[in-house]
Amino acid sequence: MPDKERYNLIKAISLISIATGIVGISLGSVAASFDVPMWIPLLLSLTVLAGAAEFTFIGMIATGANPIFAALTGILINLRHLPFGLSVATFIEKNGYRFIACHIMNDESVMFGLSQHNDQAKKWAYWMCGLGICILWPIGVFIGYVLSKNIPDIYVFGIDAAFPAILFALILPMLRNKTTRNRVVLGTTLSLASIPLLPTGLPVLVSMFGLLLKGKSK
Amino acid sequence: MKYSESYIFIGIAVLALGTYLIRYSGFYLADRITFKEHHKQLLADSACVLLFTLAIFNTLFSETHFSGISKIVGVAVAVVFAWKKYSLIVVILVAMLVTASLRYLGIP
Repeated sequence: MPDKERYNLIKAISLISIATGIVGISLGSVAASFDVPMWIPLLLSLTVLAGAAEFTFIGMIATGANPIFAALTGILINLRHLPFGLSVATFIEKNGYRFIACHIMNDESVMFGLSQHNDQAKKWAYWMCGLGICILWPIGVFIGYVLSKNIPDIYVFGIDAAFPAILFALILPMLRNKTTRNRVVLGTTLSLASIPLLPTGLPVLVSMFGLLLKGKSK
Repeated sequence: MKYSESYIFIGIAVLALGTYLIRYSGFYLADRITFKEHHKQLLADSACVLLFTLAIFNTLFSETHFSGISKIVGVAVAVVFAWKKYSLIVVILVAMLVTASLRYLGIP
């Protein structure tokens, strides 16, 4: 990878990790506002490391749901990491570090990894983004809990727009491939259509049916 | 909270373990199946399809409710910048800036 390209990638990954840390702050402050003890959001952020599932878990137990039921709902939301693992395994080496590599698997790290052009760069971007988020997310949660209601609403700064924007930006170049594009369009359409029919977490998985469209190479 | 902290701890353990197993099983399966070249394309596409859908969902919804015009416009403008091949930093900052400005003006 040329130095300039790598430098730009580091900048983007740093910014996304910081944005994720700020979302962590909001998770911490949400937990504090529910009067949930601090160890719960902290332990979640360290061991689960998947934002949507953690927000759901805390929201559910705060409103009196059974913790096991909340855990199962979170697992349902996290099912998308199974196909992620299959994709990421194509460029991550088979050694002991894999046990760490799979823990730092999240939407951002998978996307940054896949969007690179060769295996070396893919691996590097995946690890950088994964570790960045793995470190900044729990720190964010801790800060958010301590500051609690003294922090301004993160929505004021539009930080929630950073995540979808970066995903789109990283996916766009891949859509030049016609097969990929057709699969994406079909999958997304199916999954939007299934929103009223299915519980949280499942509609995203419905998009996998888009893969049934056959590629030209077959 | 209706349930004791130790019960909640078990809940977190179940969630963490389940999530780890899901993440690991992708790696595990990938080692045991030999993929042809067009299967690799299929795997890359599967992540692509999921993430694109996730991006659409995250644009349209905040948690479970409709996210509002500001975020949708902010993300849309950022996508135009991405399409015009501006750097990722610019894309992220544009998304945040446009969304924040619209919200400042009182648009939901």
